[in-house]
Amino acid sequence: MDQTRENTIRLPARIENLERLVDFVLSALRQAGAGEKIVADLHLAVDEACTNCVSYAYPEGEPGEIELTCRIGPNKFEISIRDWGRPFNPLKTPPPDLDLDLEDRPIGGLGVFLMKKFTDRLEYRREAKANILTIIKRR
Amino acid sequence: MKTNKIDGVLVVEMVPRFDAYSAKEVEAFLQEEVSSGTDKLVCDFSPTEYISSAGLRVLLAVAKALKKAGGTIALCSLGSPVREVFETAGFTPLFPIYGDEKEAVAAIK
Repeated sequence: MDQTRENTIRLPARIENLERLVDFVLSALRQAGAGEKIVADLHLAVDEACTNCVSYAYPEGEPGEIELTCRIGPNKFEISIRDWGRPFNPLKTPPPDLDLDLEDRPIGGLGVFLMKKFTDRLEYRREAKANILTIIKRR
Repeated sequence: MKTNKIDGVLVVEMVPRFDAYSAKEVEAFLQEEVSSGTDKLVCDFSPTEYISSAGLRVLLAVAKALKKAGGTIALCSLGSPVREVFETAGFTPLFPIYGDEKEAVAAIK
């Protein structure tokens, strides 16, 4: 028997909805008894993914939607972030150079790097005109 | 935003949830302070439970602007989730970080 539980939320892809999207995941994780460290790590990863999506997926003035699906299984947490905007694979973003000093550090480019560091796995696929990024964290 | 001026140093309390949404307000506030002549700034993270790359981006931008203007920035009171993000992003060597507001003010006043 598959014991995975699934919850989904879909909202307009706007920065004003960032907190609601993140809170949806956090409460699902806490309800499932996830430890605070896992909750904190996934908070960061989901926030970064949603921020990218609401900031860049759709052209300015043509807001689309963002959908989050939270799958809670016996051994892992899986959160998928889906948008129907322009194709974009965040896993192809070049890694930042962490050794540069203040003057030379570019402003930005850290979000995807942090997502990778704070999760066990990230998967991207383009399907039916949607970008789907899945964040996986073991229990 | 909540601020306090101690010995010529402006101490600004950061937001509890320093994400891309709140970062806009923090950035506007701090950049306004820098352009109106604030040259000694302490960012107090005691209320901050969370920071994303958007928050880091703001700190970097403000530190660059301040440096250009000949000013100094220091951070204080980073909780452990915030510190972990700083360390992972390689930000700890970029900023002087102090245990509390008092130490930070004493260091840059």
